[in-house]
Amino acid sequence: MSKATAITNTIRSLRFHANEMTQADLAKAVGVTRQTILAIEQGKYSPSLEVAFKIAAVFKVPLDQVFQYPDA
Amino acid sequence: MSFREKSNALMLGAMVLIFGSYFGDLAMQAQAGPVELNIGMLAAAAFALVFVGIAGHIAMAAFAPAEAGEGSDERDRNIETRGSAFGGRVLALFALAALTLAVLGYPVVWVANAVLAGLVAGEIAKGVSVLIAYRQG
Repeated sequence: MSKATAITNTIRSLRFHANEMTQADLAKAVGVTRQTILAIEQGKYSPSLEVAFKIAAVFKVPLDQVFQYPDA
Repeated sequence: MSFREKSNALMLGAMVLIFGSYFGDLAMQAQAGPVELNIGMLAAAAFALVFVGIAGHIAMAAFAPAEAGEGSDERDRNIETRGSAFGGRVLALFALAALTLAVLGYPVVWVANAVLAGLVAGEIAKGVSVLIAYRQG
C-alpha cells in the first residue's frame, strides 16, 4: 500500500491566491481527477514529475514554490 | 469517492457474494457426498457476476454521469498496477495448490475448483488492495 510522502506542497495556498480555484478546476487544468489533486494536497500521493510541472505551470510559479522536500 | 472507486467496490462486493455463495454450496455438497463438476452452477455464478457488473455500472453512471465520463489518471493506473500485482501473487499461490492437488491425484472437480478459487481470490485480493489504496491516498 502507498505510504505518505515526505514531500510537502503549497497547492492549497496557491489555489486560494488564484481566485480560490477549486480542486476540480485545478484537476481539469492539469488533466487528473479531483481525487488525485486532493491526495497530492494532503501529502498522500507524490505526483509524477510531469504532473508536478503541470501544476506549477497552472499557477505560473517555479516547481520548488509548489513542492518542497525536507533537507533539500 | 470516484467512479473507479465505486466500480471497484461494486465488483468486489458482487464477487464476494456470488462466489462466496458458489463455494458455500460446493462445501455443502462435499459434506453430503462426492462432488461432481456442475457447469450449470458455475455458468450461473459467472452470468450473475456479469449481470450485476453491467446493471450496477449503468445505475452508477445514471446517478453521476459526469463522474462516469472521467478517464483514468496516473494515480488510478498506479493503484491498478499495484492491485494487479498483489492479486497475481494470490493467484499464484492457489495455482500451486491446484497443482499439488493434481499431483496427489485428487478428482478433476477439485483441481478445477481450486483454479477457479484462485481466480476469484486473486480478483478479491486485487479489489481489497485497490480499495485500501484509494482510501489511503
